[in-house]
Amino acid sequence: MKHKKENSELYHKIYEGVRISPEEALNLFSWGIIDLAKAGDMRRKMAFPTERVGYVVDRIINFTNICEAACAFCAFHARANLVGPYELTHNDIRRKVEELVDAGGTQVMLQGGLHPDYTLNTYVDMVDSVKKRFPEIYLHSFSPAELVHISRKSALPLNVVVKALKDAGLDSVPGASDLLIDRIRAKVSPGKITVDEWRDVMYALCQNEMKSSATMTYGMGETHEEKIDHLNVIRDVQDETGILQAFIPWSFSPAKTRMEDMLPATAMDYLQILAISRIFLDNITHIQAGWLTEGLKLAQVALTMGANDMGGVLMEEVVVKATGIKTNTSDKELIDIIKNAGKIPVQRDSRYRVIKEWG
Amino acid sequence: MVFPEDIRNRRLSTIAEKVLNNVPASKADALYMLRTNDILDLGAIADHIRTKLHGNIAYYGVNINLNYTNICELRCPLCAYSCDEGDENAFLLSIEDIEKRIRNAVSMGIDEVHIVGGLYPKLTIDYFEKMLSTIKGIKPDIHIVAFTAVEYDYFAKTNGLPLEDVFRRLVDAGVEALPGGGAEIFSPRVRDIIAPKKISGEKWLSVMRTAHKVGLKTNATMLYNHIEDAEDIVDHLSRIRDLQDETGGFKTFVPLQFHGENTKIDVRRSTTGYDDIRIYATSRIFLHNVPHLKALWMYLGEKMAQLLLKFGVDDIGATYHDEKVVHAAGARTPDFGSEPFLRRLIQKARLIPERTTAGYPNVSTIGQKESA
Amino acid sequence: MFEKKPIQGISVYPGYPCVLNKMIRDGRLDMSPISSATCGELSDDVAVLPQFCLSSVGYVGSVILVSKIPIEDLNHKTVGITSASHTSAVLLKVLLKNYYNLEPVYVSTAPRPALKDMDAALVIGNDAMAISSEPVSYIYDLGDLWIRKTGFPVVFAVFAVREKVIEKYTSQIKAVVSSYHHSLQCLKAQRELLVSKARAKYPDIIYDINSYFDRLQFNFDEDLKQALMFYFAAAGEMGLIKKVTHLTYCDIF
Repeated sequence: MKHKKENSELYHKIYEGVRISPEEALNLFSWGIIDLAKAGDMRRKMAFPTERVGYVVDRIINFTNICEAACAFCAFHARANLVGPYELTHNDIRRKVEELVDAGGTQVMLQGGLHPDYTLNTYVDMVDSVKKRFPEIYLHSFSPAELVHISRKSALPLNVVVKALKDAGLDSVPGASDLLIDRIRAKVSPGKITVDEWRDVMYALCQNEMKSSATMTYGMGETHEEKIDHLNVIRDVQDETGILQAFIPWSFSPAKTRMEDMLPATAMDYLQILAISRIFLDNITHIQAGWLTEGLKLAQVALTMGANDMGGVLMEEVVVKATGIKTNTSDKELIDIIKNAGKIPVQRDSRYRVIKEWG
Repeated sequence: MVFPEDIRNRRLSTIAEKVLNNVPASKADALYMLRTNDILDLGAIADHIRTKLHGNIAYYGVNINLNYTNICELRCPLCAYSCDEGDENAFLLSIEDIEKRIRNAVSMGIDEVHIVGGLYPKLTIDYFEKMLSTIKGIKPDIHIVAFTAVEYDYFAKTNGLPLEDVFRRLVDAGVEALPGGGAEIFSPRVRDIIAPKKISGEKWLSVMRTAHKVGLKTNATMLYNHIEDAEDIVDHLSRIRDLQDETGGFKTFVPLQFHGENTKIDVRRSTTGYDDIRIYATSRIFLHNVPHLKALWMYLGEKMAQLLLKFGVDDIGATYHDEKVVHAAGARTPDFGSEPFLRRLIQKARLIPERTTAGYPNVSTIGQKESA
Repeated sequence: MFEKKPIQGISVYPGYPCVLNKMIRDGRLDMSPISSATCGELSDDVAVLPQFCLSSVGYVGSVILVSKIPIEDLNHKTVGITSASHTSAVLLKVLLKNYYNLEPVYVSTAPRPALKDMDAALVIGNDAMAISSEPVSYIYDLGDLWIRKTGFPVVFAVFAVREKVIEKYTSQIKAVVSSYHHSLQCLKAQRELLVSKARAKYPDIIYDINSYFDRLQFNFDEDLKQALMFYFAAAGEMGLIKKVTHLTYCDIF
């Protein structure tokens, strides 16, 4: 509980807002949770000084689950067969967007499996079909893996792909990262992009002046060192591009995947990673509490340790649901929970600007 | 971080000073703690006390729950479990049934059996004596935690015996400790709505006083998140603390989150993470004279239970074989948490798991554990 | 399929597709489902039942290509073909040549191939639907790719009767056909029972057998007949099967 002498230098660095090294970050794994939480909270206050906690009313639309990658950690792809194979038509997609608009939503996340036969045109048409009908809807869609997939299938460089999608109406791209550690990727998702390819996507987005985010799916057998390596890749990319608006940690849920034997991460793991991420990623403003995988109680507690945003209210989310996790929420519930923590709920847009404050 | 200098919240800082000087927190302090948003400061104080009492150890049990009947003449609105005689879900276990279950559980390796049931007038004290001696016969060193204060009061009434005699007879037959159930919330205003036919809070405490005087150690519970308010909670805690000052017979305090599904009480929502922390941490700080604080992982979910181990809690409950009461009311936790599951949770919180029974036989007295 | 009431004068012989193909060719079977790919060899000797077939529309799950590298990169790489299904092997070859412009090197493999010495392999049936023990980089469903590239579903098998026995055994043939009708009725009416029996019989399949049945089609309608003719044309042109100029349908109904 009390810190040893050598920790007090690190302690001061953190409380003075100085960047910490990967070695120092590793040391944080040995801190008690309350000490770590306080440090995370301090860094949150430095990055985001108000007590506002944002959420966005959005919808994830998974347009197909036919995927050539078949990653071990996925319960959603058609081959896992927990969700039967499907492809949504443009009409299906537009109908779902309409439901979102009726519910007062502002953001749509189109994401899908890496379909072997989709080309750039497939995606351009999809974006176009939504943006034409709903010009006010913000399209925060696809992922680095999908962009690389499109680039390969269409034999076009990333830059060209990104520009074409942007011209069709794509506003920003979530930076789904899983674990940016080649050792793990080779084992669990060999058909998905490498770390270098992830970086290339970020550079291509930057060149096209598009924003992104970064995530972390932990609990897949990685070491503490590897967790920090992951965060380091993200921090460096942010230094170079400045396009990452947020970071979200998710715990991997082994149920119903080919990695069922992996022991699931615990609450302490989550909060530890949350706080350490906040402290290490000094160049990213928003850290979201991943309530979808952690549950609302723990996500709320994360607000005291470094998280400042609740992410999306999510009208529909199929990928995590396929693993059997049943969490859903409404904006009323999120507002309630944020207030219960003594903070101010705000509905925000995809650029983190306030739409409505619930003082 | 050095306690208590690092407590930023000034009010909580004065409470921390009290704790360091062995001055009990006041009711006003408790009210403040139940409403604060500075849960890290609150947690630091609670963790300080917890560590002083129990060091780096976290307890869990391997036991079986035995519900001998769900027929209950009280039919409390808060209960999702009770039945009337003749209902299609009603059951009453015969001694043979009980023997079979206990044998089966013992073969899987249990230390303790935890017995509660509804108030059914047709059961005489002989049934309970027979039950206990049968269980003891199967495994003589099994630890028996049996019957709530509500049930003892009822046995005394239906058998026309003084309460002390009931205790003596059942202790002779094998009872070693009492569970903490039936306390709910002591406040009469609330009790009249959630459990109108149950014995009063005063009566519950009086039965416990008698149990303590006869030499029995008991638990105490508190049901929260129904229609109570913060004052009701503080009142409840106070009365437990006062009785403990008198008798020293409470071993463990167990706050229980109310689950409203299938009951007659309409509850808006589940508690939040902050709410749970406030309740448990405040309990730890206010009940300085009760050695253990238990958070049942099956009621709270293993995520919150694990987290609470660093916010005042030292015991996360047991591997239950047959938990009917909570699951009837919608708790979404797995039916069976194995021993490795619980040990891992504790280890991941960087604590040392220790298997124990309600008597905590390896813990000597308060304050004798070295802190980390 | 699961409860066989014997029909007077008929004996039933269960076997793998390649075995049955051979047996009907040798005259040891009078009636049998046969792989679409063998129709060419048998077209002079058999008539095809016009009512039934075994096909799937789009994603099927049981015919897959597993690969270490993306499909587009398979030129001159090794692709394993199992002997267990002629029809699927032909399907794969047509796809890779005509639609992906690839010339891989095909090698024979056992039904459950290990990807050790190959770059990719065709896997069919239960093996395709079981959990693979090795991490696989890429998986392609051939039913899905075929319909996207050609616009047609895949007819895997048709039901054949040897011409020589049609006149002699007309009533028995009719009896078998009505038992097929009955069987399909059972599938519709007692779906859950059949699915649970299948599950019990094949415990290694993690697949949802129920939705697998959704994707199979047994009714040999016009679209499927056209799909089959297209398959014959494409495969025949590549010299993968003996050319089929026409298909004789059994007309005793």
